[in-house]
Amino acid sequence: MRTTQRERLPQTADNRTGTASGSGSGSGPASPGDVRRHRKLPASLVTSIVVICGLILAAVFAPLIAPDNPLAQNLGHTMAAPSWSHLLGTDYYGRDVLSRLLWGGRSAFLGVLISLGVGLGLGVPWGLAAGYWPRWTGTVLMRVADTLLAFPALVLAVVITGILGPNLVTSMTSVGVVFAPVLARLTRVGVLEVREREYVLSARMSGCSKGVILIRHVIPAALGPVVVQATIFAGIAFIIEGGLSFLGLGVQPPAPSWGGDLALAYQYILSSPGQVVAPGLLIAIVVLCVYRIGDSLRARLDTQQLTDRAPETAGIIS
Amino acid sequence: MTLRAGLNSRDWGGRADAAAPPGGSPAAAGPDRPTRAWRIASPAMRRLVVRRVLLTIPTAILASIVIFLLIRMVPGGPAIGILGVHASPASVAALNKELGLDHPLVQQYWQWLTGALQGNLGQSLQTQEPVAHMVAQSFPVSAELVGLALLFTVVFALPAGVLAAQRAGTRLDRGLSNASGLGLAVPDFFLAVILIAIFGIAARVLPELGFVPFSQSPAANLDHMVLPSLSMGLGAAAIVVRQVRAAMVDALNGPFVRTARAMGVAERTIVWRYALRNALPTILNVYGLLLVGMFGATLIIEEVFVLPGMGNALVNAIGVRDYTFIQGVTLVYVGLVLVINLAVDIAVAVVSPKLAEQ
Repeated sequence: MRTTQRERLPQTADNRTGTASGSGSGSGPASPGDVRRHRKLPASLVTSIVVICGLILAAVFAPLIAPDNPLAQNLGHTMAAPSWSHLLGTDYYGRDVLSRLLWGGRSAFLGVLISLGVGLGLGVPWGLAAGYWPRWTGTVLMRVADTLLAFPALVLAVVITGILGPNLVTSMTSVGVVFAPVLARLTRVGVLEVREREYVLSARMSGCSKGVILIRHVIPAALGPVVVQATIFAGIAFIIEGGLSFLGLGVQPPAPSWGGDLALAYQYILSSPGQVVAPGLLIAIVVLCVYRIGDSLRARLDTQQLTDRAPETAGIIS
Repeated sequence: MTLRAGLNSRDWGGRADAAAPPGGSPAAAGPDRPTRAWRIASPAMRRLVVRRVLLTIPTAILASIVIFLLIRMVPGGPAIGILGVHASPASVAALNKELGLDHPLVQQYWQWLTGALQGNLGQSLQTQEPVAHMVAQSFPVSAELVGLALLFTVVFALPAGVLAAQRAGTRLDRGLSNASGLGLAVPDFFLAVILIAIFGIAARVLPELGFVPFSQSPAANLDHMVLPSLSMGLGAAAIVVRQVRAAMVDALNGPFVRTARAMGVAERTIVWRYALRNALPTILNVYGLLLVGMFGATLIIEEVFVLPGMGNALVNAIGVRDYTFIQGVTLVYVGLVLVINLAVDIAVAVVSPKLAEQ
């Protein structure tokens, strides 16, 4: 009921503004029911989206745009200052720093994709099941979630990586396993709240099958907080990926990664501080942009925490 | 004066009222509010603590099973993991026997669990020292690091969050919000490296690496802990500022605040006594999550600063495939998390009996 009201009100507000609504349509990731934000998007949000998209493109097309092979050593030309042939200079092994940063972005984005895929792929069905059969199944499933939540994310990721052998896929999969119970909890809460709403009851009374109700009516309304949390996790995953590679437990050298390259450059921080700052700054910028996008998603999608709550309230911590 | 007293007795309301159906809390009604001591010792409180402890047990058992099985997930088994894939079957069998891996799984688990409950976590494969002994040596270092970082957030970030909420919408608030946003985004290892470069190597005002035991020289110990705890504390402070601000904005919007203001209660009393107390359950929960996160972050911070703590020991153990140590330390971490969560829940119940009754 609350949703219908909330969705209807903005529409009238939009009618009032009239012309303004036409110009803004089609911009931004607005969901069908969300017509209230046809105002201009804030500049910081646009910048964040552009930066993220740019970096994703750079990572995807790294093989095409990278000026050099990221693994090609040139021991006669190490720790070179930026020049036209090496825009950001070369590292301790004479490898082109810019190419390594571009290629390192690939593993960063891939790692985040893996952990989010695993987290959502496990967590959402898990939470749906727990919310839809709240009695025995739900209790057991949530107990399991509690158990996984008793592991600090980084500890579990490090231990699993240590056991299965260090590489990006293993470590980021285990990070996803840590994310899953949180997403499961959020999904479950959303489902429990939504399934008692009038429109779900009326759908049930009009003879919709359980599956149709779940997919058409429950999931879209319940997943707002999950999407918001997923953006937060994306930011956390970037930092964890960097941290694991920094520890030597993620991407294995000589393969390029932001965290790993930072760890290498750290040993020569006085002679070339830029090589430490560049990857660290890249991670920070990406995370900053991801959080900025998450903030505006939260303002749009968070159906549980109604508008009078401050936007920062939903958990920032994993 | 009587009004003031009446107000005092009602200041438990606020958000709890809004969140929960009203009524049913004897603690909030009437001027003869029970004292805090009474609440802690009350039967309801005791029931809550017992229930909460009992709820922790199945989680702990499940987690111990997960840890136990994790170690046995090593490709080819732990013995192959230690000796390498080219080890002779005889030496693998011998090592399996030594590690007790030739017994049935259930028996292995039972032996390990009963041993762990008695404080015996087995022997390190690398140093042959008892794991429990190694944990006892390294844990205080991690605890000091986390404690100092936590202290930093309590002293600086908590008041900053309250201030931001008090001045919500002002330039100060926006500044703090931007700064904390940045703090969330900067990875702790990057911050650590930068701090080392600036204060340790370039300015030479603080030692960049290493550790001195507190018993040996308290001053040198603290000197060595400044940069590590700052690297950990700055990111945590960002989280605290944001969450405390949000909780305090909520609390300051409560009806009891308007009433108190109308009655002329000093603003400082309203903010620091009434509103903060209402925000405290949220803040305690945030601190619980934060503590867990900080113990996780010790893995990275201790590695960067070469502190002989538990996190560093775990990372090293992974490098040398010291499976018993990994297993033991993971169990300690999980125990730590369960204790922290338990403590937070009980603290929330003490602070806010209404939430506890739900």
